[in-house]
Amino acid sequence: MSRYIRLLRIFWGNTLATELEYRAAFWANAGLSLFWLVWAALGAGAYFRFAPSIRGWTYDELLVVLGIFFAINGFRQAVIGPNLARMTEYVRMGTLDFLLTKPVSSQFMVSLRHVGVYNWLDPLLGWGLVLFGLIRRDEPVSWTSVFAFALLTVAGGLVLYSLALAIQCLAVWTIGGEGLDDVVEGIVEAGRFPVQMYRGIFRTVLTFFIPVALLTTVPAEAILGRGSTGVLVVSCSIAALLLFATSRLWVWSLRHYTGASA
Amino acid sequence: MQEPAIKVDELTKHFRVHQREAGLASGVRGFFRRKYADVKAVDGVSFSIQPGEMVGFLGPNGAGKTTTLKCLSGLLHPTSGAASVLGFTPHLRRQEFLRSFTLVMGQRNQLFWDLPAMETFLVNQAIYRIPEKDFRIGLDELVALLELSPYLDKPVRNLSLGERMRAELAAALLHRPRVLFLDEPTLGLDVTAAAAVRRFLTDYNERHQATVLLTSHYMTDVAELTRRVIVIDHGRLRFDGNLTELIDATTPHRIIRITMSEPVDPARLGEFGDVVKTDGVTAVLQVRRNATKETAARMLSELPIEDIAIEEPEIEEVIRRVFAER
Repeated sequence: MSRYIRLLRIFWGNTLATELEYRAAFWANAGLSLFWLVWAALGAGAYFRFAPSIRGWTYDELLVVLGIFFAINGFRQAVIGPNLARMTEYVRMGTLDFLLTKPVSSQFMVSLRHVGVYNWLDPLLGWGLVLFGLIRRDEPVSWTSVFAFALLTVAGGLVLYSLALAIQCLAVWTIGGEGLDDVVEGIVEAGRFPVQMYRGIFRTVLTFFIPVALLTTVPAEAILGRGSTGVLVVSCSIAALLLFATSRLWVWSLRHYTGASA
Repeated sequence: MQEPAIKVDELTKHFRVHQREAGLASGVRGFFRRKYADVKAVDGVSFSIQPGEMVGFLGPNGAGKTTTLKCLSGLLHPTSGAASVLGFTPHLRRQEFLRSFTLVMGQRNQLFWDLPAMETFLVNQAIYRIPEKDFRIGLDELVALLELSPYLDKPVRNLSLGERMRAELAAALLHRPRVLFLDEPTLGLDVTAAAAVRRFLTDYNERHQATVLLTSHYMTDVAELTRRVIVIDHGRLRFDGNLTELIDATTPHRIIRITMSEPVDPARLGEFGDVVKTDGVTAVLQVRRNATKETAARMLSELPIEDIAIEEPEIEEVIRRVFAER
């Protein structure tokens, strides 16, 4: 484990050192993120001018969902995206060959090796918005809720990581896999609103088939005091199961890897 | 008898490939109904290599060399047959196995493109868990042998091909692998750079008794580095033995080069062997291998010889003959 932490320190440290040279770009991106956050928050407000709540969600509660969405989207942009984007290159250029001959988890190398630096403030902004929503809502938040929320946020992150890994497995076979990142972006984007706001079949799909609900809705419900032990257990189990299943899938797809030149 | 370092037994690797024909119509047809063909990249190859041996692995493009190396590195699962490297089954990719070999591919690089080579070295130190002291000793040795010190802090993208290849070798050997798979390690290098790499490999092999399996298109590499060669073609083993045996078997002649004090008629020279070329005063002749000595002696007594040299045929020619036979 300590070896992986050390590797992350080298990998991410290198990226940081290179990218932080460009201070202006960093602050410009931070400004842009803030702009999108305010825009999304104000935009969502428009719906609530005519109704105090939509499908059981008030404006303040929606802000909490939006905040979580921003945080998880920042995680996607910082960790998931940069690695997914390079996956195709690994397969096509044969770099994957080198990764696979190293005595280190290949899953670690393909999924966590790279990091983006411009969206690091997004999670902070997101958590800020969550806090803002909770303060506006002005109802007590119990420590149990905070604990459940923390657990469920981690679970949500793991679900997203697993989905991205499953897509990386695809890239091992379909050598031309540009745009894989867009698929993940689409999935996360669906978490911008609580699943209850989607209708019928969409809600079912987003809850059970592509567990978008776990990314934003479920953690939001927990911090709003609407969660239940059952949901907590099921959500964490799904996250663990998905992580396990996609790790196996990764090992399995390497069995069928034929290499770039073959 | 020592346990072999590498043992390959009836190794077979087939690829299922989609057969594509030219043109849009057949492209559309292929989209709906695909025709597949089994390509036998490696087709029942067996050999074994003793610890410390340096073996040349030869064959034309597409012969199955790289596929074999990839099976031995654990990148590919063999379709059938077995491979064992240092007692490990490669495709199980056990950590101890991965720690004990290295794969160098001349046309690919593992160094971080935008960073100095030193960064890759540090990453490999962490990956292979090389203790700081061993790392420093190993690095100093490699830097000295490969004359790398001026390049350590330059971003890899600013290095020349030869400099980069040397840095690649250092990155690949920091963990002191006992088995080296080298796929075209001198590809694209100029004469001096290639010679430096060869010198280094010989040296490394002597110092650490590493087992080396090397593919190369450059016969100088093979002739200088290895005594034994394995030749494969179309996925099948064609020859396994001493380079000199290969030469004996395929080219039953030697070359005699002479310089004479006065011009001699080509027809007269023809009595000694096949005249490859002559300008009257100098000549190159091909003579039967087992008659070389006797012919040379005869030439010395019967012709106005000033200088005479007996040479082996060019190894490129030997290889051409091996593959022309099929």
